[in-house]
Amino acid sequence: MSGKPILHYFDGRGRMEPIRWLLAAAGVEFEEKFMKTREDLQKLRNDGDLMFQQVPMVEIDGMKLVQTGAILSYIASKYNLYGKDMKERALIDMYTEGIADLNEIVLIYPFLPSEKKEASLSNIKDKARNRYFPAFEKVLKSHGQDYLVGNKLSKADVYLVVILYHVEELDSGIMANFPLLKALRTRVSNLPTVKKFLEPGGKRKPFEDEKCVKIVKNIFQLN
Amino acid sequence: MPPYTIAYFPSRGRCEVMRMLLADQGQSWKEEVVTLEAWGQGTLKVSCIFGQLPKFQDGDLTLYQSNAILRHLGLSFGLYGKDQREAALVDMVNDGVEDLIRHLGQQLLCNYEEGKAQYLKELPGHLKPFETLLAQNNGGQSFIVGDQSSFADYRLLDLLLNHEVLIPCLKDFRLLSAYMARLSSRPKLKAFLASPEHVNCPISALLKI
Repeated sequence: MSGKPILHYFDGRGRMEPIRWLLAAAGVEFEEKFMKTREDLQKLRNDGDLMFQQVPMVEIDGMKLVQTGAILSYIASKYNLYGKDMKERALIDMYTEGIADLNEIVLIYPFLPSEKKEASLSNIKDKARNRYFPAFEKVLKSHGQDYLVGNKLSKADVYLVVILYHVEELDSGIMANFPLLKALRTRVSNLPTVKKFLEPGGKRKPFEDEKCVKIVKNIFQLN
Repeated sequence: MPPYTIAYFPSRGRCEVMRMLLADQGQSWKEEVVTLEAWGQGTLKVSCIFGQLPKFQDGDLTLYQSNAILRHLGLSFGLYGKDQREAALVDMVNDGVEDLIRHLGQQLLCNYEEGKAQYLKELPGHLKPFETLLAQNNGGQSFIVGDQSSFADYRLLDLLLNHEVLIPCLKDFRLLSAYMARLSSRPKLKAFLASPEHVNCPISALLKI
């Protein structure tokens, strides 16, 4: 019952990256089983391990959890990263949903056909610069505290920091406009558990390169 | 004076689930209808954290993001499973329905008739996990998770009810059909589903259905 969580996914960021970060921030060591071929995905499906035939899937506490949000919530609950009461939890959930909406367009970007990339990049920059980053900068400004909710690290902070890094890779100047977000990112990155995760040899994944994209397209039979 | 206010477009959309939940829990709430014209004017949009509706008020707590609102109500009324493990399952089911709704929305928005035909082809595969969950839980006689109602039940019911209107598809899903009939006949929910405020409310303002 108490083994390390096992993450089932491909060797890339995709939808699993926020989960890796959150486990890392909670100081939880985990194992990864990487899918490399379509057969690897089929096996998981045939074994009945995937409730909706989809990954990510995380084996944790005797369960095979799917759905990124559900997995993040379970980890947050278990490791005290979900606020201290219902009101804080509601705010954390609200912020997480917004971050997840932005992540939808960010995470898919490496896998788009080249003719669709320009429009998508434009959309990512627009949504990040004009909708999501200002919203969270405003939250931090409104209370002047170190974290988004209740002056304590939560899953919303961790997920936001993941997106801050990923968007900056696509829009290099963006963080200059958001000093409080930049400070939050530094603060979270310097937490001992997170620092270890980010070091060379840590489990953080790089931006998906051509080789990774090819493997993924094959596994999921994308364009 | 009810503590709950829902501000949304004149449609079921992302709010009917929370309405069904509140009605079934014997709660009253205030509706602030936002017409597309009023929304286009911009003042309200700018005040919403991500520029989107629904906007929900629970006393002095203002929330956005329909799934966050649903979870808040789930916690408020003990509709989140009996422990953390059931809670995880409730979350999985809700998010599985969310995926399906997004998929359907995308198909219908691109090209209504073609999208509908394609979606209908894929639908048995999409509904199967929910039929399986029912089968594995007291032979489908109970709720989608465990033996008490959760917000995932309202979410799934909303999906099934809308499908019956748009794309009747449950004839091959014995347990889901029975589940839908059983939940819809809960007295307070039945009254809400028969009420003009539900019946006269279009499913989607955007799709005009």
